[in-house]
Amino acid sequence: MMILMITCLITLDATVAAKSVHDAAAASQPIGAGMTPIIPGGTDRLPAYQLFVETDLPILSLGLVMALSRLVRTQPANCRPLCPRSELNPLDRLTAGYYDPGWSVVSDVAVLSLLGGAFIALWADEGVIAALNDLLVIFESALSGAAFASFATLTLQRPRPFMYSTAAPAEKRNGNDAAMSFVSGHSAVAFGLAVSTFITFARIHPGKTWPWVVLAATLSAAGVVALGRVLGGNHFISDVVTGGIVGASFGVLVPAVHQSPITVVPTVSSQSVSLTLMGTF
Amino acid sequence: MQQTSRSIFPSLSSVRRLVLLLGVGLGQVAGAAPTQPEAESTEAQIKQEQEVLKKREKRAQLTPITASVDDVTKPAFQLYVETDLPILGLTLVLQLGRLIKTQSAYCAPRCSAGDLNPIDRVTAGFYQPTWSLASDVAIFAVGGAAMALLMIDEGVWPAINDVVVIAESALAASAFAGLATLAVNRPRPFLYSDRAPLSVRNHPEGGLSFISGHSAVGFAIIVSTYIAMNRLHPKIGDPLPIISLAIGGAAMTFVTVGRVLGGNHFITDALAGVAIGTAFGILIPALHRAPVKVLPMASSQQVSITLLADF
Repeated sequence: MMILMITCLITLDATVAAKSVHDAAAASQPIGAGMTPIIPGGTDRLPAYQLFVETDLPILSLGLVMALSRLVRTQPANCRPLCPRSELNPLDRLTAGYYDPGWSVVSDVAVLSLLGGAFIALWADEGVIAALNDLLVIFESALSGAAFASFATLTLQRPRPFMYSTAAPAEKRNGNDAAMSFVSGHSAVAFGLAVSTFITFARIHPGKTWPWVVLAATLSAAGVVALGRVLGGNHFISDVVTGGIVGASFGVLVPAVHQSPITVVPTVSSQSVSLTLMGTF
Repeated sequence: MQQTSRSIFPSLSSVRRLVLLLGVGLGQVAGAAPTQPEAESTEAQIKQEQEVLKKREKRAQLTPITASVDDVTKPAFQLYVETDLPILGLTLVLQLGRLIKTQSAYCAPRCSAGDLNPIDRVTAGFYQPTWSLASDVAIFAVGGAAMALLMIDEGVWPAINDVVVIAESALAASAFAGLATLAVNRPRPFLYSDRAPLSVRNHPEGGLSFISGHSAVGFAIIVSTYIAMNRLHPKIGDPLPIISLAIGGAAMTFVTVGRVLGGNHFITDALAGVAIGTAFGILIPALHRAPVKVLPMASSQQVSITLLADF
């Protein structure tokens, strides 16, 4: 990784410093073993995250394949068309047999609203280019959650709650989506979006309290998603709780592996006090 | 970056030492200067603690595997005992998962094509062992050619060093594909007709369609080889890296098509394999930095370049 250091006086404001770093980067020579940064052009605003071809492309690629792998499954549930309730733990027995397509639609809409809301809020806050840059990291958090959940559902093959009554149509109970209960992908995606959106705003506005309001709002929406999945008969309580944990974990982890475009290092010596701005190119 | 940070903050690593220094400083301000023997013992204590910290820092560093000290431009990747051994160990074990599977495909010996998506329905029922054999031969040729290319280009030992990283990319892609095939349990295309013999259709391998391991492994090899060649030939306009990628890409297209025509994989399995292989082909080399790091430093007085290397 090529590290470019530009020492600036403490009085330099962030915009001037960022411009100097960009100019110096343009003049520097590429090194074969370096990472390839994705630097959004056409904006003066610094996004919250630095993207790199070598890390973000594989995250997207692997995440997409893992998340979509559930679509190619053709095997139905082993206990179709009606599974015995006695197999279930007492907590999950409470919602066994639930089926309400209306709640499933509510949870679908709530997930899309979380993603759309995050984009609109970021767009309003930092402009469309920087918002798209940061939205990619938020999307990667959600995608990683979906990928993890997808692999878990395929491996564990737990029948969904609607398999425990005859409320759902026979076609649905005999379908290849009927044994994908544990972990809830919707909950993983929703909590991934909620937490990573909060982290993004907290990075853009350090020290401010209103990102916590964003967190409260996004967690509420994610809660509606989880509730909708249970009341719709798509997932048990244990599926959505674990899905929430998976999503929140990726919501913390994926932003954490994305450093800021500029790192500020204070340098103190007997002669001077300065700030070193480190940009990675 | 870590090395730069370490050099900037060499004295911030011990809270105990800071407290000690602060105590000495406050004592001096208050006029309660320590007596001569006390000051000497404090200094000796600080020195001793510094030594311990240095040793601890050294212990915490990774152990480099050095392939060539004669030429700093070779090899392309720096190997470390602490990262490369676990990558090799874990990915090798994960290869074995599919070998111990004993369960046939859930719908063996004949599955219904009505379950399939429209793209995959096109090749459902394909079975041609010659194409399978051709794809097996071609993938070994791709691996062998990558090794031969690096040996000719940089010599035996640096090439072996870099082949380890290429092998790690291939093994990681194969491990991922192996886990996916076991989790998804998708029947292979030859289970959708009666062309394949019953023994083949009832074999546990029959339920391992998604993702194509051949495509994943092959694309991981050609992409990581391209990255190695690109590092070894950083000069802009050097055609060798892109030629190696083009030839490898052509060979791997043949392998991927062979897997579909042979009835071993659906089109979506092969495409997912390409995506996985490319991803690991980029990711694993990115985790391995070059043996030599160039650090340009600019200040108002001077411009310099620092070379950092592990030996």
